[in-house]
Amino acid sequence: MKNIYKVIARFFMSVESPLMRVVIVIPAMLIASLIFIISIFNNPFSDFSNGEIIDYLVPVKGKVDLSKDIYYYKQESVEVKSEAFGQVEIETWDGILYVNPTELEKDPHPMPCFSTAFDSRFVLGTTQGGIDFLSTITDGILVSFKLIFVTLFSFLLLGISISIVTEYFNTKSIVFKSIIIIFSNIQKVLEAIPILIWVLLSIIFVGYFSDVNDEQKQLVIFFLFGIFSSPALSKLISAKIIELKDEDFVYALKLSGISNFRIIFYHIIRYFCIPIILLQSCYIIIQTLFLDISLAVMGLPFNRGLGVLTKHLEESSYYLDRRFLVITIIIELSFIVSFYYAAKYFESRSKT
Amino acid sequence: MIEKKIINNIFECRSIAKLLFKILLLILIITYSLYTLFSLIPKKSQNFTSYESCTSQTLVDNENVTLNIILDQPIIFTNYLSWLSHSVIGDFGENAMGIPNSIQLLSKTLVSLKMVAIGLILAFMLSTLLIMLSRIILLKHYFVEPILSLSLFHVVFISSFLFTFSEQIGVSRVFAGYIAIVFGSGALMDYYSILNDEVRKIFSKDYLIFAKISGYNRFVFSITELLGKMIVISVSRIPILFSGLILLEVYDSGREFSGLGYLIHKYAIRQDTNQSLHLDLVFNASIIIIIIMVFLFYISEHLYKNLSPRSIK
Repeated sequence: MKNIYKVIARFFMSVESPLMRVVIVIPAMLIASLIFIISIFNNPFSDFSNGEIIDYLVPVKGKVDLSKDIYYYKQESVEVKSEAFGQVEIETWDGILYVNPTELEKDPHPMPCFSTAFDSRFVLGTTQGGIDFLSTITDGILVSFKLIFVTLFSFLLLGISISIVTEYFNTKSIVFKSIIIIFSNIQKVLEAIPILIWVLLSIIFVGYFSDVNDEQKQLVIFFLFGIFSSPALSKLISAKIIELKDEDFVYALKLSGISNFRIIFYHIIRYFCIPIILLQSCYIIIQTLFLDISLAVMGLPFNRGLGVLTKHLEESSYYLDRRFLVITIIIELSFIVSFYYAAKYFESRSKT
Repeated sequence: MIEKKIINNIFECRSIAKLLFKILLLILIITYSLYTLFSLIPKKSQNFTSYESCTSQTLVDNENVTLNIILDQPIIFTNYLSWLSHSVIGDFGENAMGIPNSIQLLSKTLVSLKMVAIGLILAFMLSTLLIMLSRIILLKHYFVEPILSLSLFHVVFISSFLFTFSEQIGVSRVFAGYIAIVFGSGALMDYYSILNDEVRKIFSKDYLIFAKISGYNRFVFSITELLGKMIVISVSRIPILFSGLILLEVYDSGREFSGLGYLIHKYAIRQDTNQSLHLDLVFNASIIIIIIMVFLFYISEHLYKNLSPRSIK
């Protein structure tokens, strides 16, 4: 427990600017952690899932607004004509009626954020169409983290394995050297060309060649994105392996009869490469979140991550108004800031 | 001062020829691989490029042709050679209106290159300014870092914000777009931190510390190394700026910003009905980007190798 406090303290102290630490990093980490925990528990505040329309009416409290609202009387929508002497005149299919305002009901949507006036279950309120906004966000976060997991899987798998094969098992045979040259050139080409171009080309080919559904298409694209980003990790681990493979302790381990697998994973990776891997993983998480938003902006039909909520940027659409847009941006930014400063922390650890 | 020997090394015929051969070989491999993949997409003709000689193979009964990656290699290779022979002389086929695609591709390429170049210059100037300011600790903590943290916003958020306010404060939309490219999606933060680290690393080297103590100007001694690093860092940031540019073009719907990225997005993502005509534009635009980027990458690597003090023996 003491160690955890130490790590947390060291993490916050790694942010050099006190202003950034207090105003940006700590609030961002708190928001991101809170939203992530709520997402893991699938939004315990509300029993409505993302996309489910909340279609119940609430009794009218206080005065009736004659200009704006549509009211319901015995489940039937009615028009309120006038209000006088504590009674309202309403027009129904059966004709004009005079009723007490408390007998009327109204559609509670859109519910405001942090309001318990109608229903305490919808912490971030509801949209115009009656969708719980927190559920939409938590669902988006779960999808985004699924995409992050897929990206990280391909990124780490390819990044680590290529660096191990090309550097640790590097022999003097011509065939092996040719393979290494091919690999290094592939990595350079991947690095030289904008990742978004690779992603766009992947979208074209995945769209044409595979008979998979939209969700699987999205996973395939993010898997490929991890592969395209892997040279960054591969380069750093290669440099570390080059630095370490001629060290005395590696020779000693080899002479002790320890297998190459153990030397690589239990000694080199575990003790020397973990901060590099964590640092690059944090960067790739940020890039995945950015890509999620980018694909939403590009109008891909199969994007379902958190980024999709930000695509209605210019106009207050029927689905998302500006208030929700601001909340989404804050939440996204909280995750990005948290992972960015985590990367900075691991960067400082990898140097020591 | 850059020594004459370094300049001779950079422009040495043998190394330049070797480099160009390497780039050419790589480009041929990439273009052939991509051509094969594009050829496999089901379409009306065996060839997706719009040269007259190739479109004559169109099927009569309006069915889509699907090529096999192994069995149809002779067809793909013949079509590739046809595309290559045309494209090396700048002939990228014609669109439905009979206008050469090369005109559209050339104009879009120039727009993209201009925007990336301006973005890079702006990023470099801003980063240098911020590096200079960050020498004062108070400014670093309370001005530089908060400014850099703006870079954590997605390029589309920044452009949306800047476009809205540019009209109110009278700044041109184009300039706002450039600022968005520089700041957006972590580009400036990335550029600043890498440049700052490298400058710090170079200035902490023994020979520069010795030069400083001896009363010489450190910049004179470190110019080759600084130049080499700056070239490599700047070139390595081009793909990031280019990605931001594509997003800006898409967000702007190709109004003020309409480069190669928008062209690819327009035809690829929408996947319009007349695919045989659009795919050739997507392919050619992608190839142009790939050629430019690969060329820049290897040239910068060559420059860096020759500007590095280790190369001077």
